[in-house]
This record gives sequence, C-alpha cells and structure tokens, in this order.
Amino acid sequence: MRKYELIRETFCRRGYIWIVHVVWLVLYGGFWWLFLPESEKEVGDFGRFLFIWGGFFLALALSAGIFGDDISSGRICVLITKPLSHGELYLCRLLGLSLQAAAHFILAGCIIVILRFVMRKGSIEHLGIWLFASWLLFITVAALSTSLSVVVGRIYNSLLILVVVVTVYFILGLLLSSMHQKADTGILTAFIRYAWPPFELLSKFAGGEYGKYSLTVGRFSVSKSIACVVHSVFLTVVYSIIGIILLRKRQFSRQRD
Amino acid sequence: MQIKNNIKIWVTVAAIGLILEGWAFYVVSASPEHWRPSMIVNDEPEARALYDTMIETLQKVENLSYKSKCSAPDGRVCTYLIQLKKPSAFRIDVTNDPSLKTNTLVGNGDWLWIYWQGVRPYLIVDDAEGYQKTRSEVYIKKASPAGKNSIAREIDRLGIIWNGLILDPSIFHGYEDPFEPYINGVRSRGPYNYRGEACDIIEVSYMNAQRTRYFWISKEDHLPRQIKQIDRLAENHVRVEEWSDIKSKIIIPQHKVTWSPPEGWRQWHVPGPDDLLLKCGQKAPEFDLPSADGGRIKLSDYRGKTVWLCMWECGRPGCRKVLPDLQKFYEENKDKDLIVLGFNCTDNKKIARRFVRENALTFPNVLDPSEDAEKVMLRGYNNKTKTLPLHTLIDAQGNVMDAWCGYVEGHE
Amino acid sequence: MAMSNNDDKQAAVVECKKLTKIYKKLLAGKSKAVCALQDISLSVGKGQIVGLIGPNGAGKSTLLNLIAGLIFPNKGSVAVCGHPARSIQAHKGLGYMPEHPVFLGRYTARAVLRYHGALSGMTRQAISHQMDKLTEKLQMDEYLDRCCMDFSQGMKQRLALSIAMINDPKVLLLDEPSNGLDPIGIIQLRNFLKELRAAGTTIVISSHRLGELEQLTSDYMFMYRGQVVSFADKLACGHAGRLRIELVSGGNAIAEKLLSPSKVLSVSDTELEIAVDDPGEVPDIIIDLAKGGARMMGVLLERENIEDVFVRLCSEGT
Repeated sequence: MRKYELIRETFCRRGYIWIVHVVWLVLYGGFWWLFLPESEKEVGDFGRFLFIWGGFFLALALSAGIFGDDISSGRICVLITKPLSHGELYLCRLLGLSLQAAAHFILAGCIIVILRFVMRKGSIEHLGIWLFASWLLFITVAALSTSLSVVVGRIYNSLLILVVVVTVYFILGLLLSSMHQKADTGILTAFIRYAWPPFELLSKFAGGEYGKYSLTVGRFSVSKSIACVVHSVFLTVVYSIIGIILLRKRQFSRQRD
Repeated sequence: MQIKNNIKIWVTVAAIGLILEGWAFYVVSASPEHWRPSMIVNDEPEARALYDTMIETLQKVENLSYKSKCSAPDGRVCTYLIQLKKPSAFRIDVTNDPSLKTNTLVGNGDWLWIYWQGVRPYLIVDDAEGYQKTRSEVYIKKASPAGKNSIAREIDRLGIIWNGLILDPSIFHGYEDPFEPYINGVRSRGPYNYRGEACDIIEVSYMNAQRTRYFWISKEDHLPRQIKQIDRLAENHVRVEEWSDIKSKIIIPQHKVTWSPPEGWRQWHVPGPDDLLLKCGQKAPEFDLPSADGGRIKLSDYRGKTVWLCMWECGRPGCRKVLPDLQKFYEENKDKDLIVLGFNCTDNKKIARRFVRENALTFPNVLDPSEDAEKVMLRGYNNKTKTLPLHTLIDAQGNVMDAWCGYVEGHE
Repeated sequence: MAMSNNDDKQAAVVECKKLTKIYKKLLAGKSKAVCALQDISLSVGKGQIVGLIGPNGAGKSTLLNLIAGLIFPNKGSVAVCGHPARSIQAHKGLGYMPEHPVFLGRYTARAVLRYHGALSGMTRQAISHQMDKLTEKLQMDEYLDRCCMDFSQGMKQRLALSIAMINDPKVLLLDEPSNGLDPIGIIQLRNFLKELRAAGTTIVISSHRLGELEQLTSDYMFMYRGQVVSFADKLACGHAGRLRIELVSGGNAIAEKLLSPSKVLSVSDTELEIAVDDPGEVPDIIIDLAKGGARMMGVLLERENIEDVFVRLCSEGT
C-alpha cells in the first residue's frame, strides 16, 4: 500500500499533470494529421517526433519539482520522519513516473493506430519500437531530473536540464562544424554519447540504421539493440543511485529557531 | 551476518551490472565511423545477381526518365531531371533550387552541350576577368561519344559546388563504371519498404571498403529508388541520391534531347584542370609534411635531383592504375638522380597505408590528411578542381618542368 | 546534564549527547557560521513531556529537527528509542509535527491521512481505525473530506497533529502545536496530550505559549543562543516569588535600614517589593519590618510563574 500511495502521488501532486498528458496526446495526433504528407510511408519522422516530445519533454514536464516542491514547501520534513528508506521513496516516485509514461505511450500508440485506420496515411511499421525507445529515454531523463530535484528547488530541475541540453547541443554543433581535427571533439562526443541521456543510441535503436546519412544500413543488429537498451538502463540506475545518495546526505530544515 | 549477506548481494549485482555495461559499451562503440577491415564485403551470389540485374535493366530500356535528388548531411541539395533515349541521346536539367534557373546538359552520342538559362554560376575554373566575359549566352560543346564518356563526370568537372550524381546515367548507353573492376563484393542487407515500394537493399564495397554504396532496388522494376555512397577519406563523406517519378515505358520526344545554340550565343572553351596547373619555369612550392612511414618529407631535401611528384588518392581508379607504373619507374631510375615522390592529403591513413603495403610502393610518400597539406595541393599546386592523379615534374633546381592531371594507359 | 522528573531510573527514549550544530552557508567563511546549538545533552524518559523554551534563535527547532533526523549534528549523537535519529527503526516510533504544516493541496484530509498511514507501513484497516479515533478526538469529522487547500490554520494544525499520531508513536515531537488554534482547540489539544502522556507517550514540545506549557509539561529546558540555560521542573518554578508590601510611608528608609539590597526588587515611599526564595520566610520578614517601625497596610505574596522564570533567565543570559 505504501508503494501504491507513493506512485499515486506522482500523478496527483500537481493539478496540471493530467492536462500535460492530454495535450501531449493531442500533439501526437495533430502532428500525424497535419505534418505527415500523403506520400510519406515511413514512420521515421513521426517516430522521432514522438521520441523527443514524449521521451524528453514529457519527462521534464512530469518530473518538474518532484522533490523540489516537497523540499521548498516543507512537506519533506514529515516524509523523512516516516519509517521509509530514502531509496524506496526515490524509486517509488521514479516508478510512478515510469508507469505514467508507459500508460501514456500505450495510449499514444492506440491513438495513432486509430488515426492510421481512419486517415489511411502513414505507416505504423516499427511504431512499437519507437514507443519503447521513447519510454526508455523517458525513464533515463526522469531519473536525472528526479535526482537533480533533490538539490534544486521547485521546478528548476526540469528547467535546468532543458537549458543545459539545448546549450550543450548548440555548442557541440558549433564545435563540430568549426573543428577540423575530429580527435579534439572525440572526447566531447564520447561523453555526450555515453554519459549523457542516450538520445543518439536510443534513436539509432529505434530508427535502425536506415537514417538517411547514417554510415551503415540495416535495422540494428540484435546485439546492438540489446546493448543500447542495457546502456540506457545502466545510465538510469547510475542517475538513480546519485539521487538516492543525495537524498540521504541532504538535510531538511525550514526553521532555524 | 544479515548485513554481510546484503553486502554480498549488492556487490554481486553491481559486478553483473558493470560487466553488462562493459559489454554494451564495447558493442555500441564499435562505431562505423572508423574504417575496419571487417567492412570489406564478400560476394553473395544472390546480391550480385540483384546488382547485375539492375545494371542490365538500365542498359536494356529504350527510354528512361527520372528525377534524382542528391543530398549530403551538410544540407546541400541538388535535383536533376534525367531523360535518356536510345541509342545515344540524353538530357539532364540541373538545378540546386527549384526556384532558380537550370543548367542543362544535352547530348546526341557525338557531342555534348552544356548551357545555362540566364547568368551562369561562377565555377571553380573561373577567374574574375574571364567570368565577366562569359557570364551569359554561352555554351560548352565537347566531343562525347556514347558509351565512352561519363555524363556525371561532365557535371562534376564543371566544379559546381553541388552534389553530383552517384549512379552515372551513362550506364544507360553502355558506359562502364570505372569503379566496376574494384568491387570487392556485393552482399544483401535485407528487404525494405521504401516509401511504400518493396525493395531489396544491397551493399557494394569498392577498393577494400574505401567506398561503399548501398542500393535500394525495387522488386518491381529492378531500378534503384535510393543510392547511398560513403567515401572513407580522412573524414567520412556521405551522399544520397533519391530517385522518383521513374518512367521507363514512355517515349521521349526527339526535340527534348537535341539542341542547337540560339543566335548570338558563343561557345565557351572551359579551362581544363591542366590549364590551371603550374607552368613550366615556376618555382615548385616547398612543403615539409609527415610521411607514410612516420617520418617527414621536405621537398628541398631532394634539391639536386629530378622529382616526379604524384598527388594521388586511393579511391581514384586513375591513381590505382598509375601508382604501380610509377613504382616500376622509380625502381628503374633510382640510380639516375630521379626520384618519385607520392603525395596523399585526402585519404584515411589506415586505408592509404594498407594500399601502399599491398602495392609494395617503396618510393617516399607524404601521407597527411591535414588542412596544411590540402592547402599545398589546392593553392600551392593550383589543383582547384581536385583532379587526381596530379603529376608535377620538378627539376634539380626546384622549378616546375611540366604538370598534368589524369592517367592515360601506357603514358610515359 | 540529564533531565529526569522522578527518581526512578527510566530508560531514555530520547537521548542527545553533546550535540553541536553549526549552520554555515556554502563557500561562506567562518565569520558567517552560526552556532545554533552548543554542547547540548538531553535525556527524556518514557512518558515525560518536555517543553523547550527560549527566545527566537535559541535553537529549539534545531534541537527538534536533530531529534527528528531532519538535520545532522556537527558533533555529538542523537538516539530515539535506542536507534540513531535518522534510521528507519527510530522513525517507526516517531511522530513529528512541524511548525508550519503543508499538505498536498489536491488531497482531502482523509487522503492525506491515508497517505501518511501507508507511508508508516499501516494496513488499510489500521489506518481507518486510527483515523476514526483521531478525528473524533480532534473534532475533524466535518472537514475530513475537504481539500486541504481550503483549510484554515487551525484545521491544518489538527490535521498535522493527526498525521504525527497516525502510527501511534512512542515519541512525539511538536513544534508550536497550538499555532492558529482557537481557545477551545487549545484546551482540546492540552487534554489530548495529557491523555497521551498518561498512555506513556513521550512528548517534546517547542512553544512560545508559556502559559500552555505550564499546564502541560512536567519539565522545561530553557535555551538561549544554542545553550541550555536551565533545566527546571514545575516544582522548582513554584518556589520562587516576590513579596509586595504596601506602606503608609517611609518605604525608602525602612528598606535601607532593615533589608539587604539584593533582596529588594523595587522600593518607593509607599511600596516595597522583596524577593522571596521560600514562602516560609514571609512571616519572619513581616515581623522584622513591623519591629523596625514599618506601618504596613497590605501584604501580597506573588509566586514566580514560568513567564517570570523565562524573563529572568533571558535577562541573566544577556
């Protein structure tokens, strides 16, 4: 019952959460309806849209202030005094977000299937893989955001991640276009690929290597697919461990009287 | 005891996690960005048959019309409308933007004309003064016997900064792709639904995977829908060509593939690559660059000897043919104060070294895919069009005796 | 110095040993550090109610937070029911009520109680049973199904107390529990806490309402600037007092002639205030004054209450 209450709280803690889900689902439908041309028979463009909007932006929207709100308001003071381990508190909240996301993506898939049936355009081939990859990305970003929420107040955890991701990719783009010696950017791109939320690996997993300008061709091999998933899960675990340690070490006090 | 057991469990879980992550890291980091010998493809009979069928189909049809969109990751796009008519006529309208006027190549099997609507673009081969005189109402006329000349090469030779065609339309007229003899193998990459059309994907590896092409071949008409080419030089270059609006059963009217210059138009003699090179008597630009064997090569070290400087690249058929000849020449003339010096500033080092090893090239070679080395070639030796092989004969005093591009069979 | 109310040796439910807490901002120098608690030791037995008293900044809330495990001491240790303060075992028997309780606005009071009950590891039936008991005691029936965002301060206090009590804790930490309560609410709270004490619950209260504490607690800890100024129990407070004597005249002369200056609290021509340590001294003082020629019109003995003690100790502290 404890886990159920903690998981339920991740949905009920803010009034706008169900609105976010509805808006996102409408966006998917809108994108499919408005932006997929008649002749477009691939799911790739829609898959990427789903991947970024559902896997990244949705995670930021749902995890905004997940601990920061409690800490800023002082609710955490009562929570921490309950006979509840910090790991359990953290993991239940992350699990709550993951289950929300799973339900969200299943609904998204159903909506797209219905739209495909009604409008007779677009292809839903490999849509399932895109949904799965989006969910994996969601969990990783949510873990990072939740861990950051332990030290950053209110909803600034999500804002911080959004600003940092946009800035880093912008700078990386500038560096790659201006640097001729690839070796200099190798360390940076390696960091972005392996330590950062796995945008590249998961999009390759989902999109296969049929990406127009990719350096090989072929739906990702089984071993590479599994490796991408394993790495994504590993990153999630690392971010979670960091968050749990921060929660254990953090002190919570509003008054100093 | 309980705590010890808990610790043991956590340590075991952590160890398993790290091992799995290590494995995942190893698998995903085997990136296709770096050339590896495993990229060389062995022949699969079924895939080879698909490839051969594609070429045969291209050569058999009487008329063929299609749109080709060529693009690269940097966003450059060029579109072509290609119309091919047997026995030997063709017309290619080229534009890099639908809103701009086109330039057109038209040929009848004997001659090829190139002309522009409106003001022509400034080409690599142009100089400011010459361009002002030939901006508009000019055309190029060249001998172009059917099946003997590459149409795609003519577009490239103009040096327009667009993306050229990957699959040469000249194949329609029986032209043999110069890269054919360098195919290592063809293998299948499985079926694929390309924009609603069932296709087979094949991978063709050339020159020990220095170049790879992927063809999405329609199961219905055996013609390609998409072609991707990856050239593994110092950096990887990717180009994609997408075919659409393919019509093989139409009849192309004759007037589409014939052309005569309108009144008042002038023929423009385009400077060839040789025209831009260093002239006899000019000082050969000095360089001091890394060599293939890890040392350094300085041109001035060879003062007092005649130097045959050959700039080459693994991926050019002409270079692959000329280098063994040069090696023979080098061995025969080693004692005669004549030295052959290779210069490679574009290739991936691993591929180039392998090539040097396989062909037993013992003459000294500069191997430096850096900006500095490229500047020497482009600006120092005036090879703006990057035509290779580029030969420069330098006398004992360091002056240029002769310079020319390309390879001619049996050239001495 | 240990706090104990009776002579019986009781196992300490809350044990603080030489606690020191320094608040320092990140990257701030030593000069910016604030010593909130300095070398505090406290031992509270089962069934005791201890009141923490002190001016603002004395360190009362800091001490409560340390016992609750919300913050860590720089030196010393805290144990609750024999376990370190931030451990799960300690929290199993702990109930905490913060000074300004905050709840999830969209939850009803019932949902909040169910939530906290679940976090405490209780079953649905146990939560329901406990909820009924608490809502009856704290008169919360009529707003149990109302959204918390609509609550007044008094309702919030009651709900916060219910949350603290939901798991029937052995130790209750209350920070300003009567904030926002109306007089009836305060009486109800007092009665409720007395019942808890009778049931053996250990309570540590921090409050500025000295009058309330006086009626409730058995032991006090007076704190000033992070240090314990005095441990006192109720009896000890009651011993101190002041004797107020109305005279016809000549008060100044009488005081000078008959009384020690340290005993005279205030003097005028018609009134004398004398500090008295023991009520038994009063008859002797009056006899001495009468013998000295004082013409007394009225005599009043005022016992020192907790407020007086507080003010006195604070002024001694400065």
